[in-house]
Amino acid sequence: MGLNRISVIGAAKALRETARLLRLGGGTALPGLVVEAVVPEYLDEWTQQLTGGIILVSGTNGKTTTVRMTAEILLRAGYEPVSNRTGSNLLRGILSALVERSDWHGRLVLGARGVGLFEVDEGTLPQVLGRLRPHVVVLTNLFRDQLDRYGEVEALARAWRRVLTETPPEVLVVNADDPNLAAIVDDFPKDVVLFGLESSPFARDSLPHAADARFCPRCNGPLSYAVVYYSHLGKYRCPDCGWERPVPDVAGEVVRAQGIESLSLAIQYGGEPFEVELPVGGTYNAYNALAATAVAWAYRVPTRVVRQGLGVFQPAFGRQQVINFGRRRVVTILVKNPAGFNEAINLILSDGRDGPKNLLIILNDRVNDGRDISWVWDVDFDVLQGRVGLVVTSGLRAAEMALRLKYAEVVGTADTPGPIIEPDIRRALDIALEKIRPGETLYVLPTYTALLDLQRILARRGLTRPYWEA
Amino acid sequence: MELRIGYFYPDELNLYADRGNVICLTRRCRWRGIDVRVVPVELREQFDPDEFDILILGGGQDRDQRVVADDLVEVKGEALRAAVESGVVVLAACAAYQLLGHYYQPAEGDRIRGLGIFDAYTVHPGPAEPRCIGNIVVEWQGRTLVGFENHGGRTVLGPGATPLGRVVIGFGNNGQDGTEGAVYKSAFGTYMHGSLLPKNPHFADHLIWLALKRRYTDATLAPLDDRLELAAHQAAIQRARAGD
Repeated sequence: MGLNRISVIGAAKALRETARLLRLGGGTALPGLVVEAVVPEYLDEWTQQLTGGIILVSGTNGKTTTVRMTAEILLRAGYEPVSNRTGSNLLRGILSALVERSDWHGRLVLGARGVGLFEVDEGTLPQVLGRLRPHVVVLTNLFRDQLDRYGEVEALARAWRRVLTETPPEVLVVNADDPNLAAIVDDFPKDVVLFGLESSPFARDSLPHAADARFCPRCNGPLSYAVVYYSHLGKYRCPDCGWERPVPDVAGEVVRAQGIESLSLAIQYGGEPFEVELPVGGTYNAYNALAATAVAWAYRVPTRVVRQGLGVFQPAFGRQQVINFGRRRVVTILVKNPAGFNEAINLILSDGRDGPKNLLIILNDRVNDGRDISWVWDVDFDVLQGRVGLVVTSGLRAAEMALRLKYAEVVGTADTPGPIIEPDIRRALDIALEKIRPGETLYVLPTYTALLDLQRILARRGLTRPYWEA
Repeated sequence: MELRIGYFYPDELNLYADRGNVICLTRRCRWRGIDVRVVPVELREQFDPDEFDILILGGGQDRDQRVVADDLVEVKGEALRAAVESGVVVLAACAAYQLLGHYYQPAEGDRIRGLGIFDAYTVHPGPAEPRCIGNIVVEWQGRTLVGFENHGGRTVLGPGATPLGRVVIGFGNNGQDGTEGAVYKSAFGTYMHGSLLPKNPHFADHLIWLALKRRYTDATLAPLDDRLELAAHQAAIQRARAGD
């Protein structure tokens, strides 16, 4: 058996190297696929070695950033987090991460107290929950996303609720501002830490078009919102049955928002308020920071350490990371669904810079993007009217993206030129960079597989690290 | 000239970006100097069959379908039937299409009664059967329509129903008989949900033309520059062919 085990782990490790050499995209899931198929009992040994427990982060938006923020905090609290790579968030992606951190005997190599900190695909959470028996589960939010793959928001919330009640983690960390998630807490048998926003300069008083939680999860009556922060996240109440947003344990206030690059957040952390300057803007990043802080709360991390961790965190590629091409700035923001796209647009419009915004929007429709691109018609593009300069659309559905902008009358009107349509991403990027002037910013908004393509293109030019190292 | 669009259940049946259809009709009319008024028609709200020239009904979450079905049959049923009989243009996608048939039999629970405007019924074959999901290409009046379908229910047309078109790629009504959608007078039912009209400008203009013809007798539509629309149409056909 000993030899067998070595050869399985060896095969998995070798596969990863081979895949990387052959540029098969880092081979992030391949080793896990091998281990998943051959030796399930590895998982039990690994979970025992992770004495700090396992944390799973799931939800539609914010998984990657929440994991990165939490990792910075836990690292400074004396833990050694083991995390999966961005997007490799099915069970095999998690196993791959564990293979990578193991020696040839399949034992984890850890310098400190190990903690598994994994992002999990929202559709896969029920399956992964049963296999990994996590200590903490974090639920960030649920928005309509890839309806062809995940189904409807409420069905997903019901599936989560069922499996979380059946196999409960020790602690459930939940966004109190998302009614579909707050309702899950109702019959949860163990500890709950709720996080939420108390105020933000971005707050609105009504729901945007693509909101997914208009009805009370308890009585089906229409919910009424006093404040809306982001999509359907906010302070809600059901006038019919009286159910309302629960009071969060970890509460945040957006004090100042300075465009893409920073956000001041005041956080109430067990009666101990503190203020932190995040190196990324946007309401959704305030939520990510609150989720990470709520995990820190579950681990009894001191305030000082939470603050340090959040302050030094760096965004992943495609999550508002800024790349300089000489004197031209490129800011890439992943767009996956109407909720995230609307927020990206709001963020770009409030970036604190004068002048029209230059956009390169890349719309793909592969399985991992969602094959159904109808969702771009749910995004509120009208707010870009009169605010754009250069507009290039790219990707497999470049034409549909351009069409969407035409019908929002953002491009192709009497006083704006038509968009440039270039399905090839490399060429589209070159065209866009050539057309903008020094000192200007190009906002690149790719869907998921387009982001991977883009990262490959930039890595080849030595401008960013490949995604399996980022 | 002016057209009045009734946008049914904008809060409940808005899951698959059906707003794209409303945006498309509105812009294509306004670009031609035709005024458009879009009026939401909500749950529990009655309407007058003479109030609108075009009615748009879309797809919703499963939970909403029962609520909407009750409302559609009990509150709006009579007016909707009268509107269809008088030639009002109706575009009903996905869940709404199913409700315009005789009934919808869900995988679990009781049969949901429909309006019977189309001689058709829909049965969900149970959770074991895969949903019909993917890009779809349909032949309609010698041209193609492109869209995306995502439905569990299978619709069977009766002898009194005319299909909207023939499936070229995809599933359509039931994945068996090659039919897609249904037409009765100027009412169109289809599984092509969401943003169907923008990338099928010929179909969008057909609906506008029918509505104008009914209201103003003499209706000619000025041509628009549809290069972008047709590029999106072609891209959708290519993606449907690629099948990945």
